[in-house]
Amino acid sequence: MKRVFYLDGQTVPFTSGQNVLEAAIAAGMARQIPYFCYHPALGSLGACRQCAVKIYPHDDKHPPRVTMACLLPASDNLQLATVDKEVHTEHREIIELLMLNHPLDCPVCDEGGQCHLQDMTVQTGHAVRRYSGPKRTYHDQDLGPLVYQEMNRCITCYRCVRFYQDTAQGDDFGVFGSRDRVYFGRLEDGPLESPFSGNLVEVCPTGVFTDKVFRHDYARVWDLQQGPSVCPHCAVGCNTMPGARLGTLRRVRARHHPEINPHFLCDRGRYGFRYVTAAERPVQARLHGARSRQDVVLRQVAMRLQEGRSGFLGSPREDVQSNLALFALADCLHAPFAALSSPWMEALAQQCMALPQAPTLSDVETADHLIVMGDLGGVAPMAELAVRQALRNGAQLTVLASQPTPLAEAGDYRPTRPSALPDLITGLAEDVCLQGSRRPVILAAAETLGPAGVHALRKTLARLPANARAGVFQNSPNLFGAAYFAVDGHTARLQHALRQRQIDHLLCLAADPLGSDWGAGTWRSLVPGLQGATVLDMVDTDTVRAAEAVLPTAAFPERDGFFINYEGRIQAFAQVYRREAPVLHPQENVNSFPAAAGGQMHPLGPPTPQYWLGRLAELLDIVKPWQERLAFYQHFLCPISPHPDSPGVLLDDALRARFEIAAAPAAAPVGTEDWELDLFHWYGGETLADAAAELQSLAPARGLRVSADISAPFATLSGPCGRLRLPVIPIVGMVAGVVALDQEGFAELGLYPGEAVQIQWEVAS
Amino acid sequence: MSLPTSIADLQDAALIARLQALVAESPVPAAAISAVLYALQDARGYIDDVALHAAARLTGLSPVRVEELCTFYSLVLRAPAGRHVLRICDSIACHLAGAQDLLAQAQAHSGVALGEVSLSGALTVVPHVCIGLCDRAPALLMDGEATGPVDATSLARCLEQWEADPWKPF
Amino acid sequence: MEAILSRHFHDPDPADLRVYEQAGGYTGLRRAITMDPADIIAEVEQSGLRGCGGAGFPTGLKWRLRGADAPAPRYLVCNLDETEPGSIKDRALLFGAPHHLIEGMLIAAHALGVRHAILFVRGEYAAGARVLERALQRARGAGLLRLPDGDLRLDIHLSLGRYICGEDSAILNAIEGKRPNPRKKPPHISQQGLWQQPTTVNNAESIAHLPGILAHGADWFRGLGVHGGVGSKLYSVCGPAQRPGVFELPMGTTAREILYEHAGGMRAGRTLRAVLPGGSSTPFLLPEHLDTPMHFDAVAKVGSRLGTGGFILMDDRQCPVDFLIATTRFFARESCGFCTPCREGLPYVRWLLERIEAGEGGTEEVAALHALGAQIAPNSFCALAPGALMPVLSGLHAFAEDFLDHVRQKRCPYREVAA
Ligand SMILES: Cc1cc2nc3c(=O)[nH]c(=O)nc-3n(C[C@H](O)[C@H](O)[C@H](O)COP(=O)(O)O)c2cc1C
Ligand code: SF4
Ligand code: FES
Repeated sequence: MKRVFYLDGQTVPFTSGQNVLEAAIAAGMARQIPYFCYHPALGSLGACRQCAVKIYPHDDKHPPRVTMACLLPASDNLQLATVDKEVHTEHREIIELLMLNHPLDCPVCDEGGQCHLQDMTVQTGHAVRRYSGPKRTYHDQDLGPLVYQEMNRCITCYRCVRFYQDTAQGDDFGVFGSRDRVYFGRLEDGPLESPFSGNLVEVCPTGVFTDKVFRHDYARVWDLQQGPSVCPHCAVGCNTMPGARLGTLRRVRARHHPEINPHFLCDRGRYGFRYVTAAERPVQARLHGARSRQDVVLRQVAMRLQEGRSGFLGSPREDVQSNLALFALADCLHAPFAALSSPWMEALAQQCMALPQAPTLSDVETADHLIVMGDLGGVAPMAELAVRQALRNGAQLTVLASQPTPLAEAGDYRPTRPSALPDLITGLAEDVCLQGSRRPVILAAAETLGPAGVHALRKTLARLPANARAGVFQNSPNLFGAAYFAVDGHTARLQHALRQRQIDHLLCLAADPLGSDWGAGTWRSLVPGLQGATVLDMVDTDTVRAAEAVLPTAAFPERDGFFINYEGRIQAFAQVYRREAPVLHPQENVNSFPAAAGGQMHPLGPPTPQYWLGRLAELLDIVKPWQERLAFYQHFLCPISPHPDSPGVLLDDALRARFEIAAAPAAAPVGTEDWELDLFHWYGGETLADAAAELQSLAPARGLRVSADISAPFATLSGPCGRLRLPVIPIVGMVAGVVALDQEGFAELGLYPGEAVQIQWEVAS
Repeated sequence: MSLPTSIADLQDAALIARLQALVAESPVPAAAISAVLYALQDARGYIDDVALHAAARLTGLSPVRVEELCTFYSLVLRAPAGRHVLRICDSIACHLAGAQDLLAQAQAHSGVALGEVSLSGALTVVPHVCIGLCDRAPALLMDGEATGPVDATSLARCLEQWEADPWKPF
Repeated sequence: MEAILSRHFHDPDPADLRVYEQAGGYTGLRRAITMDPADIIAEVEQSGLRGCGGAGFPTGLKWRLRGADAPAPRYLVCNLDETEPGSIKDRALLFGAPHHLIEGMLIAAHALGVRHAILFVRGEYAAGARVLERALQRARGAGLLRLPDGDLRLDIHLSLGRYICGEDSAILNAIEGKRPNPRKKPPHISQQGLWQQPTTVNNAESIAHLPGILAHGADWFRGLGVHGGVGSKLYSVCGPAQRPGVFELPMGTTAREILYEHAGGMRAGRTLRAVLPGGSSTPFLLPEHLDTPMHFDAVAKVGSRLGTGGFILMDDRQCPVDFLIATTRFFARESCGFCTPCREGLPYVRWLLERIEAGEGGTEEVAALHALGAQIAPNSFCALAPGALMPVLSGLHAFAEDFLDHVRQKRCPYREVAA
């Protein structure tokens, strides 16, 4: 039976456990009941007292009374009213009280136009303030580069502190004082430490916490062009809503996805977008390091391709269509192609593909037993947030990691060497706790696990109860989409061809083989055979700087596309705005950009990779076969194209099943006496986000993380591809015999997580 | 600013032992926070940053959580006070008996605003809520000890004495 | 009436166990531990004891409603946070009847199946907590904390000070080491209280009555009352009386008798204008109400509340607006800051009163007070704000003329008189 109650005579459906306010908002009747402290993700508190309704008891004995909708459990046939003098008076009165001390600085407030307080004030009809006494004022804190605080606007709804302390479990922000001097902030000025601090901006119903990055390049929200997009900064694929104005991207907000991110975003997802506006972003075609005309550059690249000595390298950082377009071009030209920059990464991708259906983040939230391996939060912060929700629901958490990660501190930390993980995982099959739990979930940082670890995980999963789920994460948005056609030693073949001088030109799509991509050390050793590289990219990388030809590409909010996330979920993103950049040298671009199309403004900005590749196909006279192949691959991989507003579609199981036969990868043996490497990742780090200045100002110091027992100030690491001297950062609680290094470091050494490394410690003088 | 993070920063082994015993006796560590703050305040005069962080360490609460409590409760001092703290009740019974005059007198004596340390360092005056001595109004707390009724003469005498008295109650 | 609770108020050492036992102390406990918990609860229910913390909820019923099968561990808290201006009876018990409190807690703990109980004492009463601690050590030494189901853990928690800690869910947050904001109900604390376990909170005086009830029986207790009241009661008087103080009297004694016989009447030259009968969160009683028996129902009938039974007197030289500023100042300062009506509304009320008192207020200010009063009280999260408004709303009514005089004369008429 459908359960309903009545609000102002209209039926409101509800499900058991809902309160009246929740049900009314879900039924689209939020306008009848104003509220502040309630928030769908934070629940009811009952503090603001704004959500009054009148309840008519079923019997005649009790008179109708005014009560708070957020604290009133919905029940069958409740009779409620808001069209009522008493209720209106209460609504208006509470607003009046909230506005007593409010600065009324709406004209200069960043929240204007999206301010819940402003909306409710107008809605309830409070227009004249009777109070004329002094207003309270607060000292505002400097909370770092991401969030701006203006405490005088506070209405004390406690949403910020409930999000920060309860949801995100951060402990450097709180609520101080009492009575009419309640203060929300830190112990002292300083950047917020939580990887989720930017959500304060969204949960605050007024302008206390606003987006400090947006503030640098502010636009009124009603002037923003907004559209559905997908976060490109890790494998989770949170749904986002970028906002742009006058052809530049200004901010990113969370967009509701019921199973991935119903409300929130991590700071990498919110603030990483500044790669789009970074001064170093390549926006004009370059030849030999100098700006050049598009057609000149294209002709040069086409000439290279015509020589038949080119190899193609894709990237999990690019979307599905672009990788397929590259693959199709390589295919037409019978040229070697690889989607990933190292055989190790290729093996890892295959193992990830073969893993059965991963849990959604909402599945993670309802898990009762969690095992996390590696620094999950450093790789995919929103996955960590989901784990924290499970913890709040009473789940058990075991963390196997080499370092006391933030999650390790919240659970049962088992210090573990990465090389020990495959065996430990195999042992999990016999774990009584896992066997006994109702919804066990295993989550891991893919690179820490390595191919052997992920393989072990799949084998173990098969022996666990059917309800057990596992998901592995890495920090690019489209590993599955890029890697699908790139198997069976493609990378090794490509590198071999270069080594044998069968090819001497590399066409790279958002790959950085000469910089920080996995395996870069190997690529660098092959540079002598390289006559030139062509790069299609949207950020400045080592490879871009070294390239013969650079073809700048549109950033993700500037185009349509698909990503396939860690679950194998194909999600579409839409073009949100058209980049308009000033044309610095109009005379160079007369052909491409006639005055009628935008005068001194570059009306389209950099085109998509598909556009560049199509132009190349044109010059090479292979447009038709290229297009046919592209269409065929795309239909094969994504037979149903999801819409940007839809929750996405899952990759066909049959497609993934083919990876199950991939050979069991062998892990390099590590002796107990050896120093072993693990990956260090910070929550803001990722190739695109690395170009976001405000976020990167918070990046931890670079160095070698090692147990605090070691007292050397510096260490030199040696690997097959090079040496690296780094300052030593002592970490209390880190496993002995393990050193943690960033991805650039691995690239330079030519090593992988879980492998042994030679270290020379410098003795402190 | 480098934050004190270790309990050892208290530099008082006996105090640390006492605090650890309080936590050990408590059903859960966090529930010992009131007793811990009292002990720290008794020993150090007020809850300085070292004490705040030590209290956090001992009880497993974050420093922010401890500060949330310190700024809520009226008997916690988070800033140095004078050698003597005078809390003058200004609730209704004492108000009727002239608490405002006592407050004005004590404040004039201190020469600074309410809540601040007098220039001589001898005194901090704060208005306080009812201290349960309504039948002996006006009443006040002298370094935590309730006294009443107090009049202008007896208050002046006490203030003079405090001024002369170098002894620090902590 | 014979002294029961106040028996040892003037002893040289009220914590002396022998003296207490010689006067019949701990016989109630001895009887209680031979009884079935359900029978103790029935006896307390029969005695008609009602909570002395202010609300007057029947103690036995509160215990019974918690349920005998409430999941263990269960907790018991004695509320000795007494901060309500004008209430001084719990202080008298703490300093003068510590063994009553301990014995009462033991009886309640046995009745409620509690193994861990807490005496929550406000920080301003630290000296009293030391008396209680001494008494507790002696009782423990004498093996009195051994209940049939095992030892009772009886802790003294010294609060760091705030009125809101006396609210029966805020007190639990305070004990747990959380910010002492009140909790939302449901769940009621009797189901999910301290550490989410079933918890009972009782006022100190409610607890102190238990030894007598158990020693002499429910009927004896009922018989102590007069004029329809039940049991005995600690009344207190403060303000311009001859002999302010705490008086143990039959419940139902009239206001006139309390004021004129026990407190010695008004100070020379003063005339009674009004009384707040139960601490500063009760509505005024006027001289024409003086013959009301001071028990819960009779006081309610004349539009006020017995509250804590602490009289605050207002005489004819006192400006009622100034009086209300003082009561409101207390509540505005003590608001925990959690809910809007109280946090923002009470300072607004105080500001309006101050404007009127300063002669700057007009009829709009008076109207605003009426309107605010009607909004704050019913819509706040806990009972602090409604309590704060009780004297204000009844004062606006009872002293309407005084308010108007302030408005008309643009000054406080009482200031002139004083000058
Ligand atoms: C703001 C506020 C303060 C209170 N302070 C006290 C107090 O100090 N002592 C007390 O016994 N009850 C106090 N109460 C009442 C308690 O909530 C609770 O009703 C009482 O302790 C129950 O005990 P009883 O049933 O024995 O009266 C207060 C209530 C409120 C709303
Ligand atoms: S009424 Fe509201 S602000 Fe006032 S004490 Fe109660 S919860 Fe706190
Ligand atoms: S939303 Fe209901 S009280 Fe705040």
